[in-house]
Amino acid sequence: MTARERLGDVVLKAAVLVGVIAVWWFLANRSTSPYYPSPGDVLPTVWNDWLTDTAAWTDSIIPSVVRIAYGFFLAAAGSIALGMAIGRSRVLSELLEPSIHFLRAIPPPALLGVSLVVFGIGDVQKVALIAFGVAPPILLNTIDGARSVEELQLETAQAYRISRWDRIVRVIFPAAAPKVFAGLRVSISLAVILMVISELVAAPDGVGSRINGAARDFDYVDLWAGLVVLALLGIVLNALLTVVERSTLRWRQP
Amino acid sequence: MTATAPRRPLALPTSWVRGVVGVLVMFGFVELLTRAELVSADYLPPASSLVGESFGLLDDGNFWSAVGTTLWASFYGLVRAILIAVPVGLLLGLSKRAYRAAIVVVELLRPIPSVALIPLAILQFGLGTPMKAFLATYACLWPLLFNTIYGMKEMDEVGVDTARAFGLGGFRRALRVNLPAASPFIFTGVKIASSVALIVVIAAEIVAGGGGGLGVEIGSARLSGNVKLSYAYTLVTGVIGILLYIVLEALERRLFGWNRIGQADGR
Amino acid sequence: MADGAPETTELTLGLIPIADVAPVFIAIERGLFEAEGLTVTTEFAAGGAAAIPALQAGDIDFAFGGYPSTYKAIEAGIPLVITQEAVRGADLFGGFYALPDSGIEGPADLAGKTIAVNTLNNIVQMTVQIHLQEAGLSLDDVTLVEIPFPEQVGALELGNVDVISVVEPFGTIARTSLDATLVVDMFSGTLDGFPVAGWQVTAEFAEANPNTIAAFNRVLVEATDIAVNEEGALAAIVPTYTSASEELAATLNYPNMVSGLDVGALQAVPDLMLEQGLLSDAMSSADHVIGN
Repeated sequence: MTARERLGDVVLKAAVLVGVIAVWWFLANRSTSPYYPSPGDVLPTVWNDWLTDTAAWTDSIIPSVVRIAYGFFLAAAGSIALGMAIGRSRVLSELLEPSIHFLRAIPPPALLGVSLVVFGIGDVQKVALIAFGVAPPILLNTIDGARSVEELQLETAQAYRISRWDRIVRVIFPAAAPKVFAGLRVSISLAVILMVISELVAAPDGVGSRINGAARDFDYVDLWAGLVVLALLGIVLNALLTVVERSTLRWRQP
Repeated sequence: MTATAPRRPLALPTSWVRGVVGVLVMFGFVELLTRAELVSADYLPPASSLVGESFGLLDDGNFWSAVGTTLWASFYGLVRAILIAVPVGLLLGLSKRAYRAAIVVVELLRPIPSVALIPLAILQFGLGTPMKAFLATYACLWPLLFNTIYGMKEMDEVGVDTARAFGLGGFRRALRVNLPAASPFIFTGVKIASSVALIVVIAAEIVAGGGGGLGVEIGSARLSGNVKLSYAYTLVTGVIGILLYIVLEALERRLFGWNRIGQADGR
Repeated sequence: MADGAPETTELTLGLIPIADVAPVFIAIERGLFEAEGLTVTTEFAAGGAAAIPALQAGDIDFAFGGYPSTYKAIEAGIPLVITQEAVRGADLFGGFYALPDSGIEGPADLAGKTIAVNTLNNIVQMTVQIHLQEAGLSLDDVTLVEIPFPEQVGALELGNVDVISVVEPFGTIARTSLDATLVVDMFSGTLDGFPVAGWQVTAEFAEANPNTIAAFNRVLVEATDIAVNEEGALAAIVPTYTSASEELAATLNYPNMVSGLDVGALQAVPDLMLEQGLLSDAMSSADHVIGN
């Protein structure tokens, strides 16, 4: 992108953002319901009671981000490794896929109880629940991606006597990478969602725990502010992933 | 040519056998863990006892109405999400400018969990099917949208150029070239979204309640201290997940047979 | 004025599938609603945070729920009206339990312990605070962990928490499966007979439907009377709408099911909430019941 295009892009996005807030303002001001506070109340709360409040960082945002990070990396590492294996092995795929589809159909809130029993009430339980919930899109996309590798490329690689490890790293992974990243992109937002679910029970801190409390106490200004914070958190995590994706996919090009 | 065929799980009887073996191994593993009673059987009953409990449900009219309620809300939510996300995804895949403008809104809305929206959804739609379907639609939009956009990006540039050379206009080109080319990706999105829909609906039923559904039954069983029954219902949701997957795989093979060379089933 | 025909005859009730709402199901089974010209459907709402928005949406007409949520919603600007009481504390309906060998035997032993409560800032936490106070302690001396009732017995056995605070049937389950020690009976001492939960509608509904509410109340008075006085009525009805076994339904400790409205008794709830900082201003219970 040229500097001019980049500027145009920023202006466009800013305009859309202002438009969204304007629509929200208009809708909220038409309603007197305490459930729909105006952005005039919510946005200052986001700034004063979340973003510039040290306690909000130490008691809510940081604990949640740490849980997301552990859960997401655990799930990504495990799912990419397993997905590559399943995608390249017919036997493994046939053995494991039905079980995977069984497990991924179980809604995480149904597992809150069993996760408490197995993992206790600490951070391990929350990380486990996040990892369990975000793994399926990465796993399924990696399987699809690993399958889609052109046989011709593999045969060429074999003909050149490239080692098995190099084949995986230099041929299969680059070919599968776009799909893997599609999965990671779905999962990074899913991780935010699962963080909120995991903090529905036994959470002394975290963004999800605070939002849950706000709903329970009918503090809808703080609830909406929390939703804005979740949106911001999602944007930041997505931006980080985009940086990783760009550098990885660039490396894929010869 | 079968060497170039993509692996099609569950396409052949042997794959069924292997799938069943896989499930049995996993089941045996869980059975051993639960039998070892690292945790009291009161909270983690042996897997085999849950299977018995689940079969007991099949006689129960209440159970079937719960399945029906949940599936209907999931289906309704999913279809609505497809009707919204696929056209929007095509548009965003075609126009860079539209994509850049919309992506701000998408990235803002996407990380907001449907669970956190439950109180607001109840306020708008009550506790019944419309509320669950709304949340399912909301959650399904994103995988569908992104798979559609990815599909448009990954598509064959030659096909687009050819179509352009033959003078197909923007809209017809989108319909005749882009949509078919992106459709395998879109279908992957549908597969992902279908389980998302099911998960979100059951989650909403657990967290909010409602007139019926598998999640309501899970919640109600827990409230009565009936751990076994609540896990039996959870097991059932997993089984429904597998069935859904088998149906969608079969549908995918039927729909995109043309896209696969040397299909094992000779299509 | 409230003796005429019901304005609304088709009613949806939002409730929690627990023993407390047995009178509703007794009334349905025995045709008491029909006798008043009412047709009733029930929907389950998982707690006040779900039931109150559903009331506002008009999806349910009457909600069964705990009073602290009601008063907090009213303070937040959501106009609700209590139509009738339903549940008050009774012996062993709720209790704090510890493992038998833990050495925790009374409220004085709670200092430094981790206590599970179903939700923070709600009725159970209020009772915890009261019992701590009476033992010369405060909430600062304990750690509260939010764990839903159904998971608390497991958390206790696994040692995740030292003490659980549960209502029935989980007290009975804790006693029979773990031989758990009763640390304090939740609704004892100053909390004896404390108002727990009742029926509520939106102010708008109350205004438009005085006859419907009167008819609904008459039905519940009769059904509550059956629930309390007819031998075996509760044990028979509870397994029909919950997943509790007949055996459990026959042994658990039921709450004190009540009907009618005692504004003076209800006032104890906002007063205690104010004292404990759950409400920021004094509230008169009389302002938020039908007829006002």
